[in-house]
Amino acid sequence: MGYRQRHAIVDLGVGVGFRQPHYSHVLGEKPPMDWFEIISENFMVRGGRALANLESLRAHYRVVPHGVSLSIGGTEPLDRSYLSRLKSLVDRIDPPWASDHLCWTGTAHANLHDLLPLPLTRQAIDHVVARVVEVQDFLERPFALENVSSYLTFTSSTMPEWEFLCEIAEKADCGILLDCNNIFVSAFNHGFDANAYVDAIPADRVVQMHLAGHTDKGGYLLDTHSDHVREEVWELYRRATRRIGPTSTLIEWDDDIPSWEELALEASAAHRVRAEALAPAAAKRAPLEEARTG
Amino acid sequence: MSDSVGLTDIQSFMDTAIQRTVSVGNDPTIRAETDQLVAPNPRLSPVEQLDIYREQFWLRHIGALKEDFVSVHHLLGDAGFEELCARYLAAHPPTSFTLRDVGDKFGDFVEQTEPYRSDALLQDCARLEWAFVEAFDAPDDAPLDAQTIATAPEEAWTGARVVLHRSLQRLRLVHPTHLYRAQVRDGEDPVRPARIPTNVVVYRGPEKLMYIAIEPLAFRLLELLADGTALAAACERVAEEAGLADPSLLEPRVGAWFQAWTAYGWVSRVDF
Repeated sequence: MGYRQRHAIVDLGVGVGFRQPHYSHVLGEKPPMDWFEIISENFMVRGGRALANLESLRAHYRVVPHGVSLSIGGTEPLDRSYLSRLKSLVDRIDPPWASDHLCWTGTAHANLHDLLPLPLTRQAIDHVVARVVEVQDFLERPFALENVSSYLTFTSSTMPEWEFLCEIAEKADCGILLDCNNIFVSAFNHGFDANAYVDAIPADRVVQMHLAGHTDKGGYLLDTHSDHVREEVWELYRRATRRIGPTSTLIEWDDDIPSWEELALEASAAHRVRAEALAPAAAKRAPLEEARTG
Repeated sequence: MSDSVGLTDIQSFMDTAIQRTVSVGNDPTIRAETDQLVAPNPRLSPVEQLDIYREQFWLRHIGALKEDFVSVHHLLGDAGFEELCARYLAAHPPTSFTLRDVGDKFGDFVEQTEPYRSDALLQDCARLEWAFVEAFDAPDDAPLDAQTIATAPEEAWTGARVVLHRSLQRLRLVHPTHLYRAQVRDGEDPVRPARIPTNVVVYRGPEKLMYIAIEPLAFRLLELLADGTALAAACERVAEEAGLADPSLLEPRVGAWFQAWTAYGWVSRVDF
């Protein structure tokens, strides 16, 4: 039985990130939206409006936490205090899964607050797998790792990124949060085939997908979450959806955040692309018409 | 070399390189190490690839400090503020998992470091702006139980201890900095205010962060209560420090202050 089945991972539809400029509209008007993702760390606080807003959001929508500071690839011991606060948040929300990034974020000397890449080596796989197992045991619920956008290629890497991600997910028995924009950005930056990446991902491990805009900086693409999803990324999402099936999808828009209406339109576009991508499969499953009458 | 040592070396090197204020290519040793660690691609050299992360480090952390310290930024301008941030982050690299904490030592740094320490308004601004950050997500406290207060016998008040809401931040400032900051936040370009000692309280209201300047005696009483001094003893101390021959002269004013403070939500509990 696959990971999604074993953990009864459901398709939540298309959601968006819960971001400050939209708090008042979302909590006041409760506009239609399948689900919301929150940045875990923004709600791992002692008190104040953030937690009150989270409670209001939860009263009307499904909410899934997505972290940026776990540092699953870091070489310092996992931060137990951080994990305890994360678990408190997760227990409060009771989401179908929690997620963070396949990266490291700092050392004992400094937290760099960035999603820093790991060398794609077997040794790094073993290091991360042990930590993912520890995190999953601690959180006591499904946990997914997201592929990050990266801007440098390590000389010590010995395998393609998809092999690295898939082996970690397999050995740690965790889920995958497949970020189509990150695949596209990294494929451009490192010169690999984005389609090959999507085609290599085991469908049953993908619990969620991310879509976002990026910025062309000339010599490289930067994952900025500051614009519409690019057509090439929509195409990658179509391909992933056809391969993986209906999967909870989230539009990330964190900089130059647009109006709610514009963001909701982007979510509608994801709904459309999803439906188009899934249509052939649905048609195959439709009853066939017998030539003669019954 | 074991994996964990290899990863540790890579991460330790990147940690140092990313926090440099100038390109990693400017240092021959770091450039050589970067060339060993990172493979070139048709568009970017190893140094250019690593510098992407270095640039993002500064953009992200200076951006976070700019958001929290609006009036410090206004006082120093872009270049001056960025220089202060670079010096601050070199002295106090961020260690918390959250960017929310990046400015937690900013006020102390400004107070202790030349040339900033000789600018009292800059110090006021740094301390005041951090108080807003602290008040924003301070722990929640249950509202004051009015019934307990109303039914407490008069003699119980002698030893009563007033517990203040944990979002309450008390600041003794050298200027009316709260007004200066408000103008900056409104997009104005205010002149530097005159030196007028000002006592400001920042706190979290039901919907928004609030602030108010209060009179010195009230502020002193608030300080004593926050330190755990019993109400009667605190009042006596304030009267004594103010040179009042008869402490009871303070009573009507304390009554009015207490009424206002409970209305503001500053009092979360009274322990009799």
